Amino acid sequence: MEHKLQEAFHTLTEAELAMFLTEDAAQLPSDPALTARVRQRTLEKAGLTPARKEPAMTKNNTRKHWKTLLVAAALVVLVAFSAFAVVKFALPKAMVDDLSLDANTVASDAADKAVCKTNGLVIALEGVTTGKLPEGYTFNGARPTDDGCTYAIVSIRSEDGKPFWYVSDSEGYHANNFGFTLLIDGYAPNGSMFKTDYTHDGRYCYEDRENNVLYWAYDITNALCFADRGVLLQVCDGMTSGPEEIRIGKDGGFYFADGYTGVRALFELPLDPALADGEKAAAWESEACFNTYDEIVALFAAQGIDYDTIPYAAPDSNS
Amino acid sequence: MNEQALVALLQTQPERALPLLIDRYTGLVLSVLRAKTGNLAQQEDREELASDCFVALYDMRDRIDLSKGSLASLFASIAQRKAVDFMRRTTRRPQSEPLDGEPPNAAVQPDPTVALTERKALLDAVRDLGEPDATIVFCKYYLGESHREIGDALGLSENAVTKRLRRSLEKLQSTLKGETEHGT
Repeated sequence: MEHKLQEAFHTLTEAELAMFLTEDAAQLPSDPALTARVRQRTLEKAGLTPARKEPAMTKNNTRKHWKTLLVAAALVVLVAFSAFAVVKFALPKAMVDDLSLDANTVASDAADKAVCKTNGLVIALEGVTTGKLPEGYTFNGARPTDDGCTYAIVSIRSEDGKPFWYVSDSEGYHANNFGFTLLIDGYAPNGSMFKTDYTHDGRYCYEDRENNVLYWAYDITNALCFADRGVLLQVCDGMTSGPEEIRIGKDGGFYFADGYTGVRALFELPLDPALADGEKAAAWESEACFNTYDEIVALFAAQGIDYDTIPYAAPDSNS
Repeated sequence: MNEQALVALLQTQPERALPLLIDRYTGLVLSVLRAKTGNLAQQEDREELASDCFVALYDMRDRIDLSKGSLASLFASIAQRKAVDFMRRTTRRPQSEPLDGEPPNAAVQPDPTVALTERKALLDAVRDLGEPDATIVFCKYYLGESHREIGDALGLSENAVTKRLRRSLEKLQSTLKGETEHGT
């Protein structure tokens, strides 16, 4: 019998495979480190993650670098909310229902909201609220929390009011162009790390086609433990942000790279410091390889790179 | 997220869908690759082939038809094909690379004496074993997994897998014998 089974299974056709591998078949486990390597290779091959560019310094860009380093602090929009639970703002009903958002926080218009105008776009941090991650927005089959999630709600519209989701990627912005990165005060930005490990990729987008607005809900639940030290949300027009786009400065502020031409939207999230959880934060710090300014500078120096002077290279630039 | 939603996400937001697919199916893809390439492929080769499988699915994202089978079966099919391609490339190499260990499963030639009807009856009987026994037999004879590996995947002890497999083989023997007698 064993021999017959070996023969039969050795020559399984694709239709026969489907007979055994149904949608609810048990998932075979895989070593997380190995899966991470496969993920990295796949995304690079598919062109879905920008390959890390070598920050080759030339005489030209070295000369002008220090003159034009922008203090991003000037671009950071600070929103003085004392506790997010009492902030109220208006959102499309469909989105509120979809995310089961806390009705108390979305019942009326917000008096204040942070707005950035950049690259022909108006990007606003509408507020922070709680809700439940909708079905279909899970990570690796699991929900980030059973009790619900905390979201930063961001709206994006074009300054001229055009419905930009109809425009092709090459001509303008599309909903899929936008990426979100959480920055923790005092630590070097590391977009790719935050995106998957930190937020469980919990992004939700609602397109209000009547008013030509895109609303994004970005899951920040796991960042709440850092509420007492400052959490910032960067909205960019790429998948992730690297030191070629934004980096930490010696003074602890965040700086856009020299010549950066992408979307500049950086919001300090109005989180209640009481939500901080030192133990959880320490666990993240230990697990997720956070780097302070001195540490990141040393890491790059070990590779012969001056972290402070890594120039911006546009995604489609050949130089 | 169900498979239909995953495919829809792959078509609209591939940068979000691919990581989800990779997290969910890397175990299966690597198991198929290991079973079909045996010792001819190093771990590095398998990881490369696995990423090729995910890229292949990404490339065909607009043509995925779930009515023909699940995403899992599609990944297994793609992995099979990638493994066969790899074996062809590898076996064309000069014999300067020594092959150690046991020959891979793919080197086993199918026995023509297994009649098509008997084969179909056998596979149907395996499927009719129900779960988790059908999956245990599949993992054992298609993926070449050890009892411990199967147990880990299904949340069973190694001992329980061994017992269930023995009972399944007895049941299959009995079913096929009954069909043969009934048919003659």
